[in-house]
Parts: sequence; structure tokens; C-alpha cells
Amino acid sequence: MITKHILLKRILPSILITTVVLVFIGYNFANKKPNAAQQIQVNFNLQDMNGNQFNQKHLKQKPSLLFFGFTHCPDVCPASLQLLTNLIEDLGPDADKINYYFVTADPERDTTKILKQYLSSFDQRILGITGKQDELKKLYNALDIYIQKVDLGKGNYTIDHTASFMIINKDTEKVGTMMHEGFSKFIVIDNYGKIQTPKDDVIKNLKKLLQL
Amino acid sequence: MKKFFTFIIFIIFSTSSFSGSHHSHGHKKNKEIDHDYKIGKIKIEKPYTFFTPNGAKVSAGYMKIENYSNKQDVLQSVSNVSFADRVEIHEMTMENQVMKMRPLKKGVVIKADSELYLKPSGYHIMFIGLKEQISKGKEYKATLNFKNAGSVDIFFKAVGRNYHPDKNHHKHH
Repeated sequence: MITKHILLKRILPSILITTVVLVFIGYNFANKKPNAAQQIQVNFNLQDMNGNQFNQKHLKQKPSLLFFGFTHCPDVCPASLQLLTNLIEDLGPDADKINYYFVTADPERDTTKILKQYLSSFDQRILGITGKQDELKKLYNALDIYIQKVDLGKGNYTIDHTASFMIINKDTEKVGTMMHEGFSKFIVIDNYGKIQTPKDDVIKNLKKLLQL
Repeated sequence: MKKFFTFIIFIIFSTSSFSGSHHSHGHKKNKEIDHDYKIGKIKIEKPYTFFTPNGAKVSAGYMKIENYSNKQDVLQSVSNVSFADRVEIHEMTMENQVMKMRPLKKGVVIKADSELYLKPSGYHIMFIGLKEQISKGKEYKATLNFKNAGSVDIFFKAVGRNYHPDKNHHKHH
């Protein structure tokens, strides 16, 4: 009688807890898509640097690489654009299977004209995007881009911003990010934050994520 | 037979020392950036800046600063820049893939008997309101003002974005 009491009091609760935990883990696994990719659900109305409309439909044409920056950025933005220019060159004929966007984090200063002039120093396939603050915010939020204007006094400001490229596949799913390492090369990171290997083969990893 | 081996070893040694000297000649090719400046116990190595994209209003300058003194020094400000409206000393940090840049109003400390790199993704001299484009082959004058060592005129040499001072690489791949 005493042993039966111990069995109920001690072992049964732990069996119950284990069952609950296992069911919970199984449920999460079943609901997770491979690569944890989520389709971007957003409507926005922006302009490209040539004065054409740019909206969510353009993201469906081809896989895309998007970078968010601004022309008053001395360091990480021009460095990233130069690395992207090198990457496009290294992609060779495959380069045209992807669209490349430089989306401004600073629509106050980055007009279509300024973006066009600035981007003329890099690969011609990189398209500058600007527009109204509210419309840009929709795209920032949809892609989890952090943009924060920081007042430096006397009318000057800088912008804290996510400095990695967003990798979007042709189904408009965010499948990973591309980050520069030491400003000298890119590394590709999947949605779990895992660096894709081989680490130094950006092109191979990019093609794998985009199924090119 | 023994003589033959000695001869082979001699050949290997002499060719390797030859290729060694050839290597150092290769380094001299990068002489365009090998310019140093001294003031007191401070040495400035290879100040450089990048060519700017068309229409850029800002740019950044980089260098290595060595402090041979047993006291710390501070790069308090940069002045005497004719090609920009303002100059500031900045620090850039990267956290969770977010880039943040802040002016260092008190300047940047160079600890006693140590070296400090101003380089992309760290500290830089920020040129704000460029009056002209930073272009290839040109030199850009500035005065660095140190708390202890005093002031020194330097020239930033303009290089391409694929330049990395530590590696002596001018191109990618």
C-alpha cells in the first residue's frame, strides 16, 4: 500500500511532465518549415532610382539581394556595395538570375537623383530604392530591418541600420542573410543563424539557398 | 655522391634566398602607401582614404598610430582639412548585424607602448560635407592634434575599396 502511494506521488508526475514536453517538441517540429523560411506578406509603394514604381510585385520576378543603407554612410555602405559589385562580377552569367537592391535608410537626403549618381560608381545592376518614410517602413518591418535615426546635434544625424544583405528567394521567402566579414568578404548565414559552409564559398552557398 | 647532395642543398638554399629577396621587392611595389610620419613619441603609418562614389558627401580616413611613450596619448581632434566642411573622430560598432556610428568628442586614446588601428569597421576620421570627390592618386592633407605629442601634418592617400592595408592586397580573389 505504501509502495503504491510512492508510485503515484513521485513517478506519475514526472511521467506526465515528460509526456507534455515531448508532445510540445513534436508539435513545434511539425509546424516548422524547412529552413524556417517565411513568405514576406507586405504591400508597399516606392520608387526606383530611374523614377519607376517599385512594389511587392517586383520581388516576385527573380530572387533578390537587398541592402539597406544611405549615401551619407562613410564606411559600411560603400564597402558593402563594392563587395556586392565584386560578387556580381564573380557570379558571371548567373548574376542576371538575381535582382540587387540598395534601399535607402535615409529618404530625407537620398532622392532618386542622388541614388542614381551614387550607384553609378558600382555595378549597374544594383538598383537604388527610395520613397516615403511610411512606405519604406513597411518594407523594413517585413524584413526585420533595424533603422534608427540618431540626432548628433546642430541638424546633423546618423542612422543605425542593419548592415547585412537580405536573401529573398523567388517565392518571396527570406531564406538567409549575407554579411561581410572584416570588410573583405561575404559570409552567408541561414535563418537559424548558422554560417553556411564552406564558409569562403559565398557563390555556392547563395546558389544553394536560392536554388539557382 | 656526397658532393652531389651538398651541391643540391646549396642550389635549394641559394634559390630560396633569391626568392626571398624577390618577395621584398614585391612589397616595395606598394610604396604609394608606405608613408609614415612622426611627432614626439607618436608614429603615424600609412594614412589612407578611399575614392568616393559619385556625389558622396562623406568619406573616412584610416591609419595605424603607434605610441612609443610610457604614457598614454589622445588623438583629440583633426583639423586643417580643406576638402571637407567638418572633420570628426568616429567609432563604428557592429552588434547583431546592426551598424552604429558615433562621434568621439573627447578623441581616441592610444595606450602607452601600444598601437591603435583606425580601419574599416572600427575607428575612423570622418570627413563631412566633401567639397570635392576623393579621387585616385591624390593626397589629402590634414593635421592630427595629439594631447601630449602635439600636432602633425599628414597626407591621406586615396586608394580603391579593394585595398586592405594588412594584407597588401589591391584586388579581391
